[in-house]
Amino acid sequence: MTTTDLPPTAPARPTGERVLTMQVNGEPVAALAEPRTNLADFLRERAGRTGTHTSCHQGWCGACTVLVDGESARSCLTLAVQADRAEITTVEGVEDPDGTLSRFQQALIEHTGFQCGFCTPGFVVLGTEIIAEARAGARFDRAELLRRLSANICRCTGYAGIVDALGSALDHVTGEAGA
Amino acid sequence: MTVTEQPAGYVGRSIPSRTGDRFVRGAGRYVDDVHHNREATLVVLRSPHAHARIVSIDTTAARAIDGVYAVATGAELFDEIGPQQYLWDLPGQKTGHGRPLTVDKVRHVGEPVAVVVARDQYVAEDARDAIEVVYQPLPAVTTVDQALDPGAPLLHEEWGDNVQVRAAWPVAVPGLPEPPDAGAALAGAHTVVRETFTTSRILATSMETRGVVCDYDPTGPRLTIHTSTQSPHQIREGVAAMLGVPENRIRVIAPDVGGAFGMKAVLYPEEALVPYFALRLRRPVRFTEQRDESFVASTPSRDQRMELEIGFDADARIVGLRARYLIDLGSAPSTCGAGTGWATGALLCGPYTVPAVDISATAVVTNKTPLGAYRGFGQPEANFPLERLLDIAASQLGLDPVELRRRNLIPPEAFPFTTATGQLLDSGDYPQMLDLALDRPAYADMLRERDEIRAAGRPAGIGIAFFNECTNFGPSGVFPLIGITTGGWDATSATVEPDGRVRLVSSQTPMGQDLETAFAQLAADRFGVPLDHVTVRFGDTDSSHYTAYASGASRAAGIAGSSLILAADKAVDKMRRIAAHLLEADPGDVEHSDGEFRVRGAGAAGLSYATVAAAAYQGGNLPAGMEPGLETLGAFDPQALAFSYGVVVALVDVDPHTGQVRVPRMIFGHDCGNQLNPRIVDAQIVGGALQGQGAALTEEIVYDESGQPGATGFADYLVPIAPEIPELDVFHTVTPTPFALNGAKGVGESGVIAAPSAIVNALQDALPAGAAPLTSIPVLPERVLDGLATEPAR
Repeated sequence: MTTTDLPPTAPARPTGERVLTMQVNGEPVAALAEPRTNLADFLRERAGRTGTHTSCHQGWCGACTVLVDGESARSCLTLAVQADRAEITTVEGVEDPDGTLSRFQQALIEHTGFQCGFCTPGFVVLGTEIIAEARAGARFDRAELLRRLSANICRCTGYAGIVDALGSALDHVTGEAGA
Repeated sequence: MTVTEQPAGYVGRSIPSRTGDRFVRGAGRYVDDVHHNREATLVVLRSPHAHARIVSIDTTAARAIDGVYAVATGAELFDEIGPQQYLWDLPGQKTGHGRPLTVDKVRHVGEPVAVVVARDQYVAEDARDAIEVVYQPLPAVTTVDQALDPGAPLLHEEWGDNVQVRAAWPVAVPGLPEPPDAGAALAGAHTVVRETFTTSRILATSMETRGVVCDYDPTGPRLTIHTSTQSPHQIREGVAAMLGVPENRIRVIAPDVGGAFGMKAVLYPEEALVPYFALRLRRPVRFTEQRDESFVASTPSRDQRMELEIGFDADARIVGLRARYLIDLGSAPSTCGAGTGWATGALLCGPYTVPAVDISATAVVTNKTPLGAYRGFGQPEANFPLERLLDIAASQLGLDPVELRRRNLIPPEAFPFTTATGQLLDSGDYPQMLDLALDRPAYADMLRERDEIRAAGRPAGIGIAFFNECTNFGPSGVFPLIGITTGGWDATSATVEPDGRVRLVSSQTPMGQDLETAFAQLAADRFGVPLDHVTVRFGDTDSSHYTAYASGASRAAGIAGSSLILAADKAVDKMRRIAAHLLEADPGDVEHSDGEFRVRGAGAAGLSYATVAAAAYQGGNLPAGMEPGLETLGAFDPQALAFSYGVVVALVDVDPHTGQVRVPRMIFGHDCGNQLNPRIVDAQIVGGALQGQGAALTEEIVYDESGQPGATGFADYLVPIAPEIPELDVFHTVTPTPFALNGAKGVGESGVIAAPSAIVNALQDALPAGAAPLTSIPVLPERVLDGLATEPAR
């Protein structure tokens, strides 16, 4: 069943709950949500995708970053209803369907771009977006890369491994483009 | 001796992390990812006042909300849940109510007042907001000076004052000579320097907040508690005592822990409340700390003010040290008590030869969140005054700061060295470390860049700070003398499975230190098997052997690592005896290498692990009297602590218009003895140093006069972000400790200890000569602008 097979809105319930439908990492998801339910909670508790982490619920830290129709968003500041019928990519959707890690995910392991792992999903998604921009022709110098990474907070690593990992993944994109 | 040679085994190599694969996929499993059927959510109503009497609490409206299962106040729970225990219980310490919820009175913003359990977080928060509490506000005590004022309001009337505990050094030991008189030494000193320093209240802010999920078993009091903690056994002990449930009916699991940094080392109120309500409601209950409440509900640390005085002889050698310092403990001791404050005094001599001390510490209570542990545990609070005062002294003595340190560092031939506060320093070559730092090519780059920044019209400066770090905590025999109520040993269980593969269960708790990888390396070498034949498990009181302390105090590599070695050696020895029996040889003639047992010198094929293990588990053909099976336990209690050490050199670049400070370069020299995995060691240093930079320049939890905290989120509490990272040159020397079986010292806390001191020393160097000394961290931009406004000295 695709999302378009589902009714546009389910009947209202006393709490205002209704069924939302999304494509999450390419799979259809339909679940109840109240108007006040944020997307992070919806993904974690209704869609069972716990890879997206919430650290501040205030929009500052970026741990909950997901792609909504290809663009990064703070899922804690996005109401689930705002993402109704959207295509969502969470950290679990970055790897290939057969489980092969993306180049950036591999680079994070090579460069120790994580320690406790809690902020890692947000950085994986953020980096995935940056790499997609690079594939589309954007170029990032170190200062611009650091500025983009300032969207997210990591408390363990001192960022060094994350910056190196993203730099190495981007080098590969540049190499592809030059080849 | 810089590390150059490639080791033969796995230990000492930068093996990639075993945890990375699941973390980059989002497949880590943290407390908030654990769910149970029929679970309810608990939220805590916290005091909005710093100090107030509770006149009344009306929970009627909250109870009436659909989906609310329970609402309770402190008075209702007082006889239901007993008081917490204290890990650090210094002689004479006074304690608060120790209950998860307060009764009658609130003593800090955020103190738990009531609790709601409901269908989900949303409904529980609705009900929490519907609880009506009438408070009668009392004058708040928000500074240590106010707390000590004779007319100050009392937080705990029954105490008679606001002093929680005192400690002093030297400690006279019966039978040993009287300690030298620091007063006389200072009176006779050639030069005496004195200044007062403040280390502000900061918070670990792990990216994962705290969380507790408790399953419920209808067959009786039997609890399975997932909690984000560093110390599963300590939590089990605490919950058992507070709820009156036997320890063997409680299972505490620390799953993936999303950062902790000491903040998750102690028991918190919710760790008792959640299982209490699981039992009472006969259903699973969960709690997830929200970020805003974490700023008042999770323990901050540091928060000391020290008056420090050091005397030097005519050769600029230290003759005596006097310190008077105050610890702002918050409203009552956490289970960590005044532990960090105690450590500051005990470790105040740092890496220097200080013949005589007169140190006195006073922990006072104020209307703020109780203080706890945070990476460094009292040592940054000691290092900042000491390293700043040495720079101040250097200018008075007309000496280069490096030369002053060189003259006073403990010489390598003096180890093992007992400090004037009674600490035994195990090993080190401190002066060599200092010299190596200045020989780094990065230091030449730093000098050049400083000159370039200055030429461009911006203030720039270079600062240095030395430190040592107390690690491998610690010898159980000493613990009672320093107020710690538990043992300091640690344990590892090793199992050779029937197929010959190795499974370890460590009593440590990973929280980002990558112990899974490091311990696998250590075990693979010790067992002589390929790395992928070893798995390591953690964090479950039903499978990890008891340990009091678990992860903290930079003790995993040395203490837990040594226990792993003991467990592995016992297993190998048993296998050797089984192999000898099967080969009809004397055990002494059977050698073990490359995962095989063979008779020495007999060219015949050996017995594999799988063959020996199969015999061990079949059980029918074993040496007489031997028990079947291949599971062993290693428990290691160190004879003494191990002191890692290092030097930090920092360059700062100041924006003269805004007062903002950048740290473009840092050199970090470090020695933690033998390294299990240099990649992990570097990661700990790099991450720790940036936390230290935050403490130096941006992080602070300010309280206003009414006791309201100024930070409740990352908007007000500025942790470093990516554009602020320095170019960091890390180098190592290797001086093993004799007090761990693998020669390893800890590294977890090293990064944060001296980075603030080096940065502030650099900042002082950047300010005009004659600028008032920088004596407080963080140094915020307004303070920098004040310093820049100083008329240059002529």
